[in-house]
Amino acid sequence: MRKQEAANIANLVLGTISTDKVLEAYFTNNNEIIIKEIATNSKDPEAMFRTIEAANYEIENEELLSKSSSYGIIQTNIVDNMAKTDNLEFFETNIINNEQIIGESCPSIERSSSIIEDIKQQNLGMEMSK
Amino acid sequence: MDQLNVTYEAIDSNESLSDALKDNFKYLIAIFHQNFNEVDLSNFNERIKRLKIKKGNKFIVKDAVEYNSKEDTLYLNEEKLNTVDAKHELMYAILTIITAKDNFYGFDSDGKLKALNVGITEILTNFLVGNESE
Repeated sequence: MRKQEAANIANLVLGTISTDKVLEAYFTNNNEIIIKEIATNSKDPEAMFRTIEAANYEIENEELLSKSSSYGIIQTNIVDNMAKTDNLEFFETNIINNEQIIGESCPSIERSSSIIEDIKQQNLGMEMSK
Repeated sequence: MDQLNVTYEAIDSNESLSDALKDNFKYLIAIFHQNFNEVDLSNFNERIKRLKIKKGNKFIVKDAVEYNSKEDTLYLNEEKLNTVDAKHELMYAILTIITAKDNFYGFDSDGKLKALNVGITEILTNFLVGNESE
């Protein structure tokens, strides 16, 4: 998700709460103001929070694929959110096997590979059991 | 002395910044102050005094300009910087410096509103200086 797409989501939220409150939250580092405003002013707060969560997921995954330094986050995301064969293949092809990205700066590479193998086995097991 | 002059002095006191970059900071912070004169700039003033500029690895620094509040360092992705509106990117970075706290900026204290925080910063940046790369 690019910044402009994030701005589109923000515009959606700005349509339900006052700009003054958003600015107050922004310049006082206080996210409780926004959460409270959405909960009280939005016609459908749950849908709004789901949209916000989906946007967070999008933006975090974009970082995931572009920041090799966040290696721990990559592992966590694979285990927690991306345990699908397609994503694992993408990960192996584009990140693990790309020395330009990983290089020698990642001593945990062997351990990570074994984690991926474990997940693959789990996926295989799940498919077999269907 | 008014708040803006205090900020100009803070910018000038940082010897690691080039004169051209100091001028850019002054130009952009003046635009910000003109539109949001009620916002306290003391956080920005303290951080700009010790701000460092470094080239960032293009695989780590995703955006053209990224501010790391823990290190008080502005990382530049020079390859990306040539393809975007530098004024827009620097204003975005200035907003992150103004609202920096611990390891976050704006209202993204725990990641719950991360995308919204990015979006609001982008909206504010567009409002203040536009975006000529679009």
